[in-house]
Amino acid sequence: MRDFNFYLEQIGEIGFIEEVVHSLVYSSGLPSAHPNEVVVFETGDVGQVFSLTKEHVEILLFSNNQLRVGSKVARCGQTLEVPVGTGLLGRSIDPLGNPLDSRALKDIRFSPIEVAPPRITSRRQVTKPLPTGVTLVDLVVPLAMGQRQLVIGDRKTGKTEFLLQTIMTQTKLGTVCIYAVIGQKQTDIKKLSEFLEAEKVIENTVVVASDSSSSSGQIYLTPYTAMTIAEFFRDIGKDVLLILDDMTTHAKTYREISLLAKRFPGRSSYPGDIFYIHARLFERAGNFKKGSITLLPVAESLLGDLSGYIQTNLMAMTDGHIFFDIDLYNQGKRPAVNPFLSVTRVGHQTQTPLERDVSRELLSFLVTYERMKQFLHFGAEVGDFARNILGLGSRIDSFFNQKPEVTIPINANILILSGLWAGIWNETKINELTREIEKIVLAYQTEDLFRKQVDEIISRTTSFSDLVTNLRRNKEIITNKLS
Amino acid sequence: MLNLESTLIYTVILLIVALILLLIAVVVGYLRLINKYLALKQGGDEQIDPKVLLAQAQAKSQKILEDAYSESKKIMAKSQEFLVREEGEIAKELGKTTQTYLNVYSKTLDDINTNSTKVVQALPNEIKTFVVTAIDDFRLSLSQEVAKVANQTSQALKEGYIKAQQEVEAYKKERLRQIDEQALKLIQEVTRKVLGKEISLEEHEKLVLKALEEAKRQGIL
Amino acid sequence: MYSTFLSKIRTKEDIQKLINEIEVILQSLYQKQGVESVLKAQVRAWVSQALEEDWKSAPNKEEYLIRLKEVLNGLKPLSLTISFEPTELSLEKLSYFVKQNLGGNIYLDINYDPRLLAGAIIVYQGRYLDMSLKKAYEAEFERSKVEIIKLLEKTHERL
Repeated sequence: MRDFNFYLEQIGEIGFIEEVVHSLVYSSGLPSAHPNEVVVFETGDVGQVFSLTKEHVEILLFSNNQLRVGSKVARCGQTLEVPVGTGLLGRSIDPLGNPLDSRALKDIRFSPIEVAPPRITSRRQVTKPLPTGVTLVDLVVPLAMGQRQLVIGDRKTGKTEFLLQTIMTQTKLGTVCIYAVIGQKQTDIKKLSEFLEAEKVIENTVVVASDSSSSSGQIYLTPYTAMTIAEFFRDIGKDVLLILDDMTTHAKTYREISLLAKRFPGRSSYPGDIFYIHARLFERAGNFKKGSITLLPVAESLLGDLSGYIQTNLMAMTDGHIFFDIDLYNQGKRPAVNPFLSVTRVGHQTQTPLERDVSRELLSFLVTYERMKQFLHFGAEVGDFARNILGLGSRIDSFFNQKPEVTIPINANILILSGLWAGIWNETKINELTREIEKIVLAYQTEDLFRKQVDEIISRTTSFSDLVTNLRRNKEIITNKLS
Repeated sequence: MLNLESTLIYTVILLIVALILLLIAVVVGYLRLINKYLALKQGGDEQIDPKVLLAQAQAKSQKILEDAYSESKKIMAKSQEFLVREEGEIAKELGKTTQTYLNVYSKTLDDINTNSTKVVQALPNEIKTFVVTAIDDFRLSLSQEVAKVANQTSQALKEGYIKAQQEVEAYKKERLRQIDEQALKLIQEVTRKVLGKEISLEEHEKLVLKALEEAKRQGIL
Repeated sequence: MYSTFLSKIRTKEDIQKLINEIEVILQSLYQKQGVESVLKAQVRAWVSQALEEDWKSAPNKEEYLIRLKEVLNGLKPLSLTISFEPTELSLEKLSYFVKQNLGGNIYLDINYDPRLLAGAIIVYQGRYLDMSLKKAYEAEFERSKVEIIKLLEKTHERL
């Protein structure tokens, strides 16, 4: 990005600002401007051509400075490009590519933001699972590499904690994680980068951040910048986890820009192309020949209403959603994932036959458990069968409760669940149970021999009932670790 | 009717007898009472002299006091004797002990005297030797320190001089650079102004027309 | 029809002056004093002459004046930033050149910037061309800077 005079000389076209409306600037001149072209002002501010009319060029500003009517504008002859490269790992940048900690960026090149999504022939079937480290998600709503999964819920229901757990699990497996913070508070952005540094995962992470005081243009750009960076890492063969937090703010910002530009308002005053704005971004993620981009966009719902405009739009563009229920959160469940309303459309095809079996059994059990709990409300008498189900259900509930700093590998989850099914903990109290589960997880994570044994058992077994029977017969596999 | 009359007579006789007895009893009682009263009266007559009793009591008490006083005097006289005797003995003993202590004390004092005089006489010599050696040592170390300090100061001066020289050099360079910059700027400004003045109106016009033609050539106009 | 006016228009100031005069005439059309006195006293001679000529063929004066104003407002500017104050003659020459090559619907928007030294910066319909001496001069100066620095260093050695 050179300075104003350079572009003025080179291109030989000039414009004069006629009107300034918040983040939109109308200028005369610039006869050969084309849409999405970058323009630079006399003051050094940067903008992008938003649309063209007969008399004016409508420019979206990328800075908060007040521009004066009559100032000169020059066009740069190219579309917006952002820096991409391995030099971005461990850094936080703003949507235009400027580092937030004022140290220069190294090992980077520039790549255009607006890219057509890859065609069908360059895509591949989703085959690899994406372990998140969160028991409930890995067992009931599993994710896969290259999937686009919407994370939706009310505010303050634990969505960000879940995403950070996923980052912690994935960085250990070598995935590059890109976290795009769209229009949030500066304190939240600071807390995020401090958390990533404390957990020592910052070296494999890139943070693209625009805070709520940035200009609308910058907030609008943030997810596109993040996707461009993700595409670079995909092209060098890496698996990328891209998190966009959150898309409802992005939609609101785009609505603000469109209404200022006097575009005709549609449903809820959103512009008519709000679906296209998000869909063309989401379509750039997926599983490809060289690498994959797993996209986890976040959406905020109001009072658990999944039928909002933006929410339904986003659900239509993604391969499933994980719903964080405010009722479950208020009941104390963490993570507050509602397994009945959450969907994964491509996660199950990446699971092993055993994992699929576990998933199916678990979900149908959870349905039965819910029904039993309803019977309790009616004050019906509790027979043996119902009592067993309620007991196992409450144990599974406490097993699903997971602290935000804990991540559990999937085989450990399957082992513990099979143990619960086999009745090993039928006589244990709930708080004892939590402690014993922690012991097993610790043993799995730290003892190589135990881990190999468990992995071997699980890889040999193909059905859940076989595994349960095996554990019923050889309870000492688990009980040995509890003493 | 005869019985009735006889019983009646008998009861009347009984009653009269009873009454007479009662009367006798009353009289007897009354006489007794009189006797008691007379006896008490006599006793009261005797009590009419309290002063006599008092005098009697006084005399008795005085006698007791006098006896007590004489006894005590006797005891005191005895104790006084005892005291005087004992005092004499104590004084004697005290004198003896003090005399012995005095002797011992004066003896030790004499001993100390002689010893201290001996020590004091020996002291100057010792002091002299000690002081002399100390002075010699001190002189030596002093000369060494002086030599060291002289060295250090000369070194520091040399370094300081070199540093100062370097600083002067650096300052000179910097100043010259600044002057160069200013000179350059001046040259720029002057040539600019000269050029501006040098160009005549016709030349200006010509140049502008040339610019317009160039613009036309490039297709801008 | 408006050819007299258009041929006399050279710069932005000309247009502004003319428009002001037209405003005064328009107002006077419905005032007591009448157009004649205004034409004699408050308008330039050639303007009143040209108006009287044209009014012979266009009887509706108001419509004529309003259209004239529209035409004047619709003229396109050619922005010229030059480094000298032009005389009448210079203006004539420049205006003539422009009218010859671009037609009569153009006026000159002349700005004065002495830093340009010579030449002009031309802006027309969004196109920009810097043909000033400033650019050439600065390029030259960069080249000769090296020699000047060498000279200065020689003086250092003498110091």
